[in-house]
Amino acid sequence: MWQEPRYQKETVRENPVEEVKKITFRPATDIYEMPDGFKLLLEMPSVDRETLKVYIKDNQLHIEGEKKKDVSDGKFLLQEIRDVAYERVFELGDDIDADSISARYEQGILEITLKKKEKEPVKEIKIQ
Amino acid sequence: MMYRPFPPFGSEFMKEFQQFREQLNELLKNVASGDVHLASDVMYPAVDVIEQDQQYVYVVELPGVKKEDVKLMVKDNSLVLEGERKEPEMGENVQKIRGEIAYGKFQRTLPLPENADLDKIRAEYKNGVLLVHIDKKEETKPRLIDVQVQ
Repeated sequence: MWQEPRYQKETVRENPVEEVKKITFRPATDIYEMPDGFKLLLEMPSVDRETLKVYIKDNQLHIEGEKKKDVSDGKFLLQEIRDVAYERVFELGDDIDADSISARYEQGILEITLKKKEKEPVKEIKIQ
Repeated sequence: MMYRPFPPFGSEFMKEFQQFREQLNELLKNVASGDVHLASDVMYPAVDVIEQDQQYVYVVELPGVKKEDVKLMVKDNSLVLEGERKEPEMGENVQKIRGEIAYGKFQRTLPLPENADLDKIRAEYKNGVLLVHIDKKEETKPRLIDVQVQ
């Protein structure tokens, strides 16, 4: 659980819409396990909320988001902040309830909460 | 017989090598003077400095840092930023199973341009990014000012 698929790397990929090369970057992530679920914190500063995507597909949790520059014009005297697109994928375990997913974005941190599936009651089978 | 592993002096390579030497000397000088700390546990947030017609804008990435945990000052004609990123409290029965985000103190000292008007500094914090706007002016005076983060 929480394994990352092998193909996922920091890459330069072609963006067919804008025809510019965008560098994808895996945001640093903290994962907490609670008795009834999981909480993920992803470090994603200055993300444009409209580009922020969190979804589950084929039992994989996908997180995507693009940076929005607050200052667009002017001359850079110092440039350390990377202009990147965030992207990260995690494999989910079977015990996760995909419908329970919720997320909020605050202070540059994306917080994702997932609940564990409720255990089915043990069914006793009578042997005849 | 002379062994010459590098291209002759004056070449592009040697120029770069010379630049690297100068940068290294500069770094060592700063370490010796205490301006730069090597291998310490203090973090240095990434910064963009942008010059516009009327103002300078300092952009600092501080995701997960609370507004009240950021201190911004002007000291010796430099913008001094310090604070702490505190680990969120998750309560009992919670186990951290992956930790990639670095928590702790951060610090940055950034020189201010000579024509920066130290009376006209505005700071705002949103989406984990601190934006500091400093207007331009003709002359500068040395002083020490506390800047309130809004």
